[in-house]
Amino acid sequence: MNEIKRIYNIKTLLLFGILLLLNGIVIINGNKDTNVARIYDEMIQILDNNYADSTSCVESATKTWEQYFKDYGINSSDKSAETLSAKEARQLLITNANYIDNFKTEILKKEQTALLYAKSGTYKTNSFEYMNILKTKDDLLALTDLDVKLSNGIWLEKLYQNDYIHIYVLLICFLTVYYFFIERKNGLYYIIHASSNGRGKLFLKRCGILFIQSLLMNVIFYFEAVLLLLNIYGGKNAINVVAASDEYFLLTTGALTRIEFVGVLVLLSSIASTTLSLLLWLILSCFSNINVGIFIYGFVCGIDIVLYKFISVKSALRALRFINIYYLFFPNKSLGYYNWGYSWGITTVAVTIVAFTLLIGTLALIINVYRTINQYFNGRENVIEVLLKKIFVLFMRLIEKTPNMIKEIYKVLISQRIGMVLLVLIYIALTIQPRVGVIYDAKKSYLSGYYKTAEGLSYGSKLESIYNDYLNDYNQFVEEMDYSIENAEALIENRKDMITDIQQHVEFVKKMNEQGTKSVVLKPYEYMEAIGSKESNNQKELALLNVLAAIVIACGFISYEKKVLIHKTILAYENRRKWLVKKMITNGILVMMFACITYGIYYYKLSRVYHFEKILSPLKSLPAFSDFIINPSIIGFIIIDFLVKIIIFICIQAVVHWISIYVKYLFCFFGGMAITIPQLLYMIGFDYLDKFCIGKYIAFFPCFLDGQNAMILYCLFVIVLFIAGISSVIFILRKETMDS
Amino acid sequence: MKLIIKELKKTYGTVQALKGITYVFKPGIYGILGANGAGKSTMINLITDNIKRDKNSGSILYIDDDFEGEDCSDNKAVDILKLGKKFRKNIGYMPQQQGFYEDFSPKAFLKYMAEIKGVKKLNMKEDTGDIKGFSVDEQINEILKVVNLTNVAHKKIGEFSGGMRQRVLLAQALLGNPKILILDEPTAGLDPKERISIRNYIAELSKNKIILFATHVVSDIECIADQVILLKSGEIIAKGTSAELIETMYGKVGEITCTLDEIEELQRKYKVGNVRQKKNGLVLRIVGDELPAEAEIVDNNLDLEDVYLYYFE
Repeated sequence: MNEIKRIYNIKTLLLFGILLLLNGIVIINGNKDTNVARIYDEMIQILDNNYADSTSCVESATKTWEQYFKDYGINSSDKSAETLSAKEARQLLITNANYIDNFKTEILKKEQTALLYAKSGTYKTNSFEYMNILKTKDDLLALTDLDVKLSNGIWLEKLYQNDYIHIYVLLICFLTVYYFFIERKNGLYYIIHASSNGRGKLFLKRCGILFIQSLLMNVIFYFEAVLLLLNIYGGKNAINVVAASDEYFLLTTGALTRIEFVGVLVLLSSIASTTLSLLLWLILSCFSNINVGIFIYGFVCGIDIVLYKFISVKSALRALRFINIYYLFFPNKSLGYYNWGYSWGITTVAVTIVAFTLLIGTLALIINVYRTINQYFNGRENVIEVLLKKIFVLFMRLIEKTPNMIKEIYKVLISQRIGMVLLVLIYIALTIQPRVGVIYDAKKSYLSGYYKTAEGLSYGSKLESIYNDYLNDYNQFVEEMDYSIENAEALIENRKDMITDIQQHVEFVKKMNEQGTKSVVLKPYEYMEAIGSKESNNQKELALLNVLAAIVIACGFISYEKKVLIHKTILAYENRRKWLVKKMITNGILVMMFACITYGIYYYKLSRVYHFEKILSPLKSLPAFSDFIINPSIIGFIIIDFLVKIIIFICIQAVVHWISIYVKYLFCFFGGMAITIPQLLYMIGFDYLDKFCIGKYIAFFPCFLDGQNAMILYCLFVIVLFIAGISSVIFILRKETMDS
Repeated sequence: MKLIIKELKKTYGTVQALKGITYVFKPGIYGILGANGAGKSTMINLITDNIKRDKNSGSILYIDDDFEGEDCSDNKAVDILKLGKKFRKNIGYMPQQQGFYEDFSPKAFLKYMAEIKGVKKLNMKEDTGDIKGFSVDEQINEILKVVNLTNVAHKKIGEFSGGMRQRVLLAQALLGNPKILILDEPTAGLDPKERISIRNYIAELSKNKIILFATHVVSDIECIADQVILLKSGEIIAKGTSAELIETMYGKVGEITCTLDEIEELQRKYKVGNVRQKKNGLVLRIVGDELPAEAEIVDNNLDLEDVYLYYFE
C-alpha cells in the first residue's frame, strides 16, 4: 500500500489527469467534421425502428433514406452543405447495405478468385505470395457464416485509427518505472535493499503495480475514447454486432463483435505497455545513471523504429520490420490484416507481435527478477556510460568556448529539459495539415477563366475589353439558348450570376485604382481559403502551440535559478542587469526560432496545397481587404503578420518572465498555462469560448473574418499585451534584487 | 578601502533580523560567528544587495582608493546602492547553499560566471618586476588549480561530491580577484585536509582584501581571522581579535571531574563543553560566569570554542 501511495503521488495523478484531458481533446478535436456520420446514424435508427423486416438491406436502406429526405424536406437538387452531407450519408448507407446483402456471395467470390490466382501458376508453390493467397482464402472462408448486420460502426473505425491512446498509458507506466529507481537518487537504495522486504517482496509488489496499472490505465483511456466516440458518431445500439459488418474490418476482426474487438485492443495494449515498461525497467537497472538509461532506451527504440520505416515488406530482412518494437508503441497497427513470412512459413503480424511481446516481456521479467534480487547497485558505470561521459567532456570543451548567450540556450534546452518539450510541440505542429485546397464548383471554374485571362491587370482598356468579351459571350449564350430544355431559365440565371460577379470585380478594381490604391485582378480563392475559414482552426492551433512554447521557455527565467539556488550568487555581481537582458534576449531568440520552424513548415505545406502564384500582388487586390489600413504586397502582409505574431509571443514571454520572479518553477508554468485554458476547452467542444481563445487573437485572420468587433478586440489585445510586455521588461530590470 | 555598516536594521514581518548593527570593515579577515537565525545571512544579503533594505534602516557605505585616491575617510564613503555596479564589481560571493547549473562543467560554469562578474584581463606584477597579463581563461585555469579541480575541469558538476561542489563555488567567488570576499560557510562539506588547505589559501588572500567569513565552525576562523564578530539575535554581542575574546574568558572556564550519572545534572545547571575521559573519571569543561565550587579554573588552555559556548549555549 505504501508503495502505491509513493508512486501515485500528486505528480502522477496530475499527469494522469492531464493525459486524460488530452485524450479527450484529441478525440473531440479530431472528430469535428461529423455531419455525414450524424446523418448516417439517424438513418440507421430510422432503419432499425421501421424497416428492419424488409427482405433485403438495400430495400430497407432505400426506404430509410427516402423517409429521411422526406422528414427533413431535403431536395436532391439543392446544393446546401446539409443536402450534400445527406447525399453522402445516403451513399454510405446504400454501399453498406449492398455489402451486407452480398456478404456471403462476395466472400465466396473472393475465395474463388484467390483459388484461381493460386492455381494460375503466377507464383511458385513455395513462394510467400502463393502461401499468402492460400492463407487469405482460408481466412475468408472462415468468415462466410458471420451474422453481419447493417449498423453504425464508424466509432470503432475511429478508435482503431487512434494512435495516441496507448502512448498516454505508456507515459504513465514509464513514470511508474522511473519511480522504482528514485531511491538511487535520494540515497535510500542501500536501506531498502538491506531491509527484509526490500528485495523479492518489493519486486513482486512493483510487478503487481505495473501489471494492474497497465491494464487499468488502458481500460480507462479506451473507455473514455469509446464513450466520446459513441457520443460523437452514435452506434451504441450496435456494439454487440459483429465488427466485420463494416467492410473496413473484414479480415481484421474475425468473428469478434465490436465491443469484443475493443477488448482485444485493450488487452493487446496492456501487454504491449507492460512489456515496454519491463524493458525500460531492465535497461534502467543496467545503468548507474537513470537519465543515461532513459536516453539509451529511447535511442534503441528509435533505431528499431527507423528499421521498421526503412525496411520494405519484400526485403530479405523483413523479419526486422515485422518483429519490431514499433508495434509495441502502436499495437493497433499490428491488428490490421497483414501476412508476412518466408518460403518456409507465413503468419499474421498480429500473431507475430503477440508472440514477440510475450517472449521479450517474459525475458525482461526473468532478468529483472535476477538483477533485483541478486545484484547490488554499486554506482559502477558501464561502457556506454563511460563513453557518454567522454562525449560530454568533448561537448563541454566546446560549450566552454562559447559566449554566455549559447550557454543560456544550452541551459534552457538541456539543463531545464525544455528541448524535449519543444520537440514534442514541433511534432504536434507537424501534424497540423492544411485542408484539401480549393474545391471548384461550376461557378468558380467559370470565374477562374476570367481571373486567368485578366490576372495582374489594373483597370484599363484591356480589362474593359476582357469584360466585354465575357459580356458578349453571355449575350450570345442567351440568344442561342434552347428554351425547350428543362433547366433553361436556371442556366441563364446561373450565367447571369457569373457575369454579374465579373462585372462587380471589374468595378472593384476600377474603384480602387481611381482612389489611387494599387489593386490588380487576382483570383482570390486560393488566398481567401488559405487565410480564411478553412485554415482558421489550423492558424489558431499553431498560435496556441507557439504560446505554449513561449511559456515553457519563459517559466524558468528566474524560477529555475531559484530552483538550483544560484540566483543570489549571480545577483550579487556587477553584470546582473546585463545577465537579465541576455536571458530575455536568449529566450526571445528561442521563441523566434520555434515560430520560424512551426510557421515555416505550415506555410510550406500551405503553399503545396494552395498555389500562390501572384503573391507579390497588392493586398488590396483581394476584395476582402479593400478597407484595410495598409496595402503591402500579399507576401509583405504575411511577413508583417508573422512579425506581429512574434512580438505577441515575446510580450507573453516577458509577462511570464515577470511572474517567474515571484513564484516557483511549476507554479509559473501552470500560471502561464492558464491563458491557454479557454482555447483548450474550445477545442474539446465548448464552442462559445471561441471569443476567449488566445490563438484567435494571435492568428489575426479569424478575427479579420469575424468582422469589425472581433478586429477591435484583436487591436485591444495586441495593445494591452504590448504594454504588459514592455512594463514587465522595465519592471524586471528595475527590480534586480528579486527579493520576492 | 572600507566597508562601513551603520545602524543596519532589517525586519521580516514582525521579526527583527538585524537590530542596528554598526561596524567598519577594513582589509583583513573577519570571522562572523553566530547560531542559525543570528542574522549572518541577512547581513550578507544586504551587503550583496540580494534583499531590499528597509526605509531609514541604516546604511552600508563603501570607500575605495580606486575612486577617492588615498583618502579613505569615512565621510567620503558612498552608499553601496548608489554605487551599484561600481561596488558590485568588487565582490566575490560564496553563498551557504550550493547552487549550480548541474549540466555545466566547472570550467563552463566559471566562464559563465566570469562574464556576469565582468572579469577582465588581469595585469599582475611578477617577482621580476614585469607586468604580466592574465587572460580570463588563464585566471580560470589558475583558480581551478588552487581549488584542486583541474583534472575534473570538463566533467559534469552534477556528478561531483559535496566537497568538490564547494570548491567550485569558492572558485567562482575568487574569480576576478575581488576586493571584498564574502564567504558563507565556505568549508562546509570539505574533508579535514581540504578544509585546512582552503583555510590557508584564504589566509594568503587577505592582503588588501576585506574577507567576511561566516561560519559555525570555530576552528575555521580561530587561526586566520584578524577580527571575530559574534552575532546573536540580530546584534553584535562581542567583537575583537581571537586573543582579545579569549582573554575575556579568564575565570569563566573550569573543568570538573565527575561520573557518568552526574553529567546530566551538571548539563542542566551549566554550559557544558567537551567531555574527556581520564583514569579517575570523566572531565567536563564548563563555561559560565558562575562555575561549580569544585571546578578547577582553566586559564592557560582557552580557545575560541569556549567563547562561542559562553555566548551561544
